[in-house]
Amino acid sequence: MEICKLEHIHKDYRMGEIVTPLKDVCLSVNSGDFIAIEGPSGIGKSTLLYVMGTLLQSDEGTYTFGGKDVSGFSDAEKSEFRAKKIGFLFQDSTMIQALTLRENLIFTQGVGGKKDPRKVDELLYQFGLEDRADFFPHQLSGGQRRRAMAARALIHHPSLILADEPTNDLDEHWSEAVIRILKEQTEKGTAVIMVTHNSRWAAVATRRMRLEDGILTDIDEYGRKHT
Amino acid sequence: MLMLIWKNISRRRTQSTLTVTITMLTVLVFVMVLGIFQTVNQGLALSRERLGADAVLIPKYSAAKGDDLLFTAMPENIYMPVETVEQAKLLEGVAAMTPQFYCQTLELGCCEPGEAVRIIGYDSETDFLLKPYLDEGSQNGIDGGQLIVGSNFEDDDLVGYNYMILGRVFQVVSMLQPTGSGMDSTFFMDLNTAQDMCLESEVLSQSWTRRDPHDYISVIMIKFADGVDPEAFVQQVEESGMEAKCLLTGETIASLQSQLEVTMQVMFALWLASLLIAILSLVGRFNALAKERKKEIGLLRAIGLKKGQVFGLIIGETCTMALMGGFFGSALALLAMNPVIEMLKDAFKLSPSVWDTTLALLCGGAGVALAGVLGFAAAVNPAWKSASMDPQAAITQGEVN
Repeated sequence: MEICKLEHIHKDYRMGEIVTPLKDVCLSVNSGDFIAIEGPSGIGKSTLLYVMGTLLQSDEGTYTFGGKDVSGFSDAEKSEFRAKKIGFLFQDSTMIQALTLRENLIFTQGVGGKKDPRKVDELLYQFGLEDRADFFPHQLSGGQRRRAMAARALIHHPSLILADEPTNDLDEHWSEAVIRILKEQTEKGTAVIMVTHNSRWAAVATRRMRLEDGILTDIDEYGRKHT
Repeated sequence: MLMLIWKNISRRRTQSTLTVTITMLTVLVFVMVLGIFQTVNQGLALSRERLGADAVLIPKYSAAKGDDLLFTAMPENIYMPVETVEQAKLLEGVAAMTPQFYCQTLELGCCEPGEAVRIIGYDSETDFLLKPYLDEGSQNGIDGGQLIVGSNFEDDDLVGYNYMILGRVFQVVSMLQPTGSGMDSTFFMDLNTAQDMCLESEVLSQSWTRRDPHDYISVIMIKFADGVDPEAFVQQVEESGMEAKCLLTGETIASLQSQLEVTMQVMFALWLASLLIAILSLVGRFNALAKERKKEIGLLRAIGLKKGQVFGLIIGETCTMALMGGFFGSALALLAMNPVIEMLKDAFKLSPSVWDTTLALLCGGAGVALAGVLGFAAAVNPAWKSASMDPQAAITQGEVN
């Protein structure tokens, strides 16, 4: 079942000169998809995730989610959409500083209109953070914060998880665990789009794509474009 | 959302304390200036309205000042011949007049106010000054063993208590309602009794070895008939050859009022300056706070908070801190008001009006309201800018933008 669809998405940045990270991006995402997006640094992979998460408006093209044109949503509608449908795992480990880890999860769940303390405990356990639940973000290590962010991305049962280099700051064990947990989410019907530079984790995805020169193309396990 | 507001405040203790302190100090100054302004202004209005006398006749060569006589309870030992009363009766334009005799307590025994206070012997037959502030039982006069006390001596009702003054025991038969003048800090007794005491008292009698106090009075309070020109009345007194000169109470009040107005204007200007400093420092603080939390605000937008909710969150935080500051500032100011009013009495030779609960609540409430407005005004711009930030730009902090 198709969750969302990008059609001919175009995005420019004007920074003295015009930079075009997304030239003609087309992508259809189905329920249960695990898509890995690869490509050189600074090419626009994060920009693509921001557009899909409605944090950034494309200049051209259509973005539909569940059959609705998201590009035409008002700011408030986009907020509600993000709260209910999208789980973000940003490149930076940003958290609400005044809240403990558990409170961060509860708050995010609440914004999405849900209240499920069992899910909070379950995720804390899954990400090995149960003994850090009452710690503030500044009391956590980089890896712990990364795991906390992964837990936050899943806390409200989103339909689409946008993970920007989710294994950053993580050791081998926890990188594997995070990828495994993301994979498990796809088995429950959630779609995951993951930006990564790591071929090993990209290989876990059901579909590998490369963003280059503003165009997204499918690639095989050796990084060759599909014909 | 309320939880997040509270936790942002309580868990950023240093920053929150700073914000609360800035607001508290601003409100403290505001409530004190407002309170002082109100009490002094009302005191003046009360004095103007209630003073009763339009003019005071005092001994011709006395150096006593009108404001000392009218607005303070400073003991003034001034005397003029009792015949002056008869001469004053001949003056034109007098609707009512009443003589008073001043003496003061010195070393006092128990149940005494503990410092020298003004004692006025008044003539209950001609009196028109005290009557409006006395209960019905005391309006017909008091006898030699009775005493009327001003409203400033005790918070509790003293009626029925005994006071020992210069060896004599007096029973308090009435307390004056607040007048806003020096009468509030004065003991009143029968005129003859006051004169008797000057002879009986070991200390006071030393001043009366050659003279009989019964032949003297201190002042004559005069109420004008309708249409009297005060300046012409002063002229008439000067030309009458009496051993007295005339002070106009209206002039005294006007002079005091102009002094106070200048003082209040200076205080108000200083307060405005402090308000401006507070606004600038709070705007600076809230701007810095918004910058510091730019990423966090981007995150809040990313997880689904609407613009209005982010705006509400920041305004909620700032207004809560400002209101806390307002509450503490008002409370401190109200606690400090009584000693300040006492100092003012000495500084301005004025009995300010009563600093009562209603006025305290009004000033305190105004302080808290000001704090709320201050918090909102200082935060509205940074809050709106933060809420309107492009969430992606906020998260990446301009990494691409």
